[in-house]
Amino acid sequence: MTPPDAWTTLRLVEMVAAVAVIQGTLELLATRRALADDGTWRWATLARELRWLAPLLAYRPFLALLVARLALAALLLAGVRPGVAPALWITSLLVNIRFRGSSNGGSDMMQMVVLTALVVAHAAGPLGDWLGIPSGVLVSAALLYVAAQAMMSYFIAGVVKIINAPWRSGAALASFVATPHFGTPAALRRLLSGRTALLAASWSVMLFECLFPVAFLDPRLALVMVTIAGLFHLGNVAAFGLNRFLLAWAATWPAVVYASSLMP
Amino acid sequence: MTDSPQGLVLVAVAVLLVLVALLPRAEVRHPLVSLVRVLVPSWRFFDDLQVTPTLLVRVAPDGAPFGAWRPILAPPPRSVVHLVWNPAGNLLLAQQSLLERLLMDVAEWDDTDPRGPETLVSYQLVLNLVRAKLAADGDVPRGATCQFKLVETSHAAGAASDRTPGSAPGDLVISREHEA
Repeated sequence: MTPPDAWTTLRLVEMVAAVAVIQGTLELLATRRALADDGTWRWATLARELRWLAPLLAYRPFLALLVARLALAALLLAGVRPGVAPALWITSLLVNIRFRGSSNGGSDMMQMVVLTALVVAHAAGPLGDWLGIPSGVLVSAALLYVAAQAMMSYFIAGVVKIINAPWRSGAALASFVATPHFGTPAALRRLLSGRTALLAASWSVMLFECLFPVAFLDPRLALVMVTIAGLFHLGNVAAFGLNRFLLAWAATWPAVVYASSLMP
Repeated sequence: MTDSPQGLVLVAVAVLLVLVALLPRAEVRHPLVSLVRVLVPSWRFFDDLQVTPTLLVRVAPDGAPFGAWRPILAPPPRSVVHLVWNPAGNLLLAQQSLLERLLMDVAEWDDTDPRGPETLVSYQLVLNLVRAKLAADGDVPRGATCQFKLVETSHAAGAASDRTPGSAPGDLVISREHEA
């Protein structure tokens, strides 16, 4: 098989990241009532900490910021590059600041990782000239950063589970699927009510996460691991409703495959 | 695998990451750092069984005694559409994060501070949430008073069928009485 080159990989990462930003922004706009002046995240309360950002984060400006973010993501999806990635990076950071750090936890973090890499990759020409480095090297470095963060996200999550006795016994997973706010469907809870199923599910998750680094040994292994990762995230959507995590991590998978192709 | 140079590098990186993962979690609580924490990824997902708070609310019509405590946050029924479109579910996760932040802030509250924890931004945000939910439900009479509390969600392993919030709870935070 012929692995994709850096520029093709960058385009794939851009496209999936753009769709992820569009999805997240549309969801925020759909729940804007919670951000309004009689909602949970009303500006009158947040202003105690963020008054200096009122021109950007008070309710009306914030809606405009979300619409601008949507437009920027659409431009990125269409292949427009100049200035788009830094603007998306800034608007995304501001969205998270309005939620006092993050609105959707890990998916926001991975989105910022990918946007940071896009900022560097899109500036590869002038930045490379300034640093005396070929632009292709900078694009590769940006993609390797994304791949490394993706690998760490799975591997560290796996390690901290496997050293945890409740995870090894299945008790932790049983507890998480019983947590009301995740809204795990009753059918799935029934499926995971037996000890064998719980152990199988828990160990499948831990082994997949801990073994993810083998993706870097070979592009074929990388394809296998990102396919399993896709199934893993689909499972997380079904069990915990974490749909934004699926696209946030999918944006990293082309970079993982690319990184694996660099191994001699 | 470990005979090849890339295999050795991979094993070395893996060992380094394991050591990093085993380091104790360090929370930097400075407000400005907290605001940009999205730039410092933490990948310790679902690592241990932390206390998960459930929000309960009770309402007293003007001059009447309080009714029973009841939960006001319910997850939407899962659907295949949630794969691409789950605003209500993600809003609920953000609301749950508010509750967890309030728990942390109250735990760190200096009891000698005369202002009281109700001056915390996280407390006010949860109060906003309560008022907004009560208003949306439309069952709050004029002049009513409300009170909220966070209770520990039952995490008993194997108790997946017992999903009644507050079934075996311990009170974690109880608010003052507020105008609903």
